[in-house]
Amino acid sequence: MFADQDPAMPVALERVFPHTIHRLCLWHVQNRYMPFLNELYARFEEMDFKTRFQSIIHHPLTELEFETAWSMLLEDFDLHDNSTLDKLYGIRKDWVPAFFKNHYCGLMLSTQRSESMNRLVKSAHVDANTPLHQFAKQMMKLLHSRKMKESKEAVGSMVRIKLLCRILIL
Amino acid sequence: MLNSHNNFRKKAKQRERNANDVAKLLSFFASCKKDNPQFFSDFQLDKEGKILSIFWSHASQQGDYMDFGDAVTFDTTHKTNLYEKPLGMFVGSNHHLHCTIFAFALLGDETVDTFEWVFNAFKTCMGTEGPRVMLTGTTDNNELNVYTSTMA
Repeated sequence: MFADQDPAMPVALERVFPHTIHRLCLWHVQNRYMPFLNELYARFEEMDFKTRFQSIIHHPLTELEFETAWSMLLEDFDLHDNSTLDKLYGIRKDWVPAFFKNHYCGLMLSTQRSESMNRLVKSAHVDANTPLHQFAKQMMKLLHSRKMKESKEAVGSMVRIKLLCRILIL
Repeated sequence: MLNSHNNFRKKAKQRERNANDVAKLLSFFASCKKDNPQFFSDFQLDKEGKILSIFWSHASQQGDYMDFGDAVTFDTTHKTNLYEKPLGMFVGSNHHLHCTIFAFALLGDETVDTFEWVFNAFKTCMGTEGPRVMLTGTTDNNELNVYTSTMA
């Protein structure tokens, strides 16, 4: 079983952090219904269902805008009884970006940051044969390299600020 | 001949590396704690006292969480250690929009109890109510129904 589809996580999350808003990864939700969505994409290829569907998910800025666009979509393509779309609509408050505009999410829509970190960890010389103590040490090294990167960026922006100051003074 | 000798040496080295793993881990954690008392680690044990899950967070990570912990993603990945323990990381983004890790957890399994333990350890470590928004990849439908009905 893929960890990403692990059902235990939301239950535990709800118990320990009742006040935390739990948002589902945009990509994982769509990926789960991909076979059904692909079927729809293919069926309405001429009418460009895919572009329309994707823009309805990504672009609306308010909940009302999303709801209106969604019902227009169902109307235009006559998809009122489609079970996949019904399910996606049913959990809309957990994953559609329009419902999170009021909350700071660190510019994140998906678990992409987790995924890229996972990749970075695996490139930091750990694999299925790594003992625990070595793993912990490698992770500390990884943190150091992240901090170095952060400092480099900070110095870079300092230089830019100094330059800006000089220009302004002159 | 030379090859088998090399193999033997390699295996012996590996055995030595893997021996007393937990003791070595504990002494590494102790040295981290000595370097900075803010270092946090916690272990989930089973009835026989065997280690199920490990949670740890360095002082700098806790500092990062204070600054950038509003939105956190949590996900698990596999094949990072000898004991087939899935790795869970609390990840966010800093002011340069780089990925930042707030804490590590090696999990004994992926059950509700274990996740609950991990989230509780995170809470104890950070000493706050938890992040404002948590992003996960969970998409299991049945469970989602349970989840939304408990929310209502």
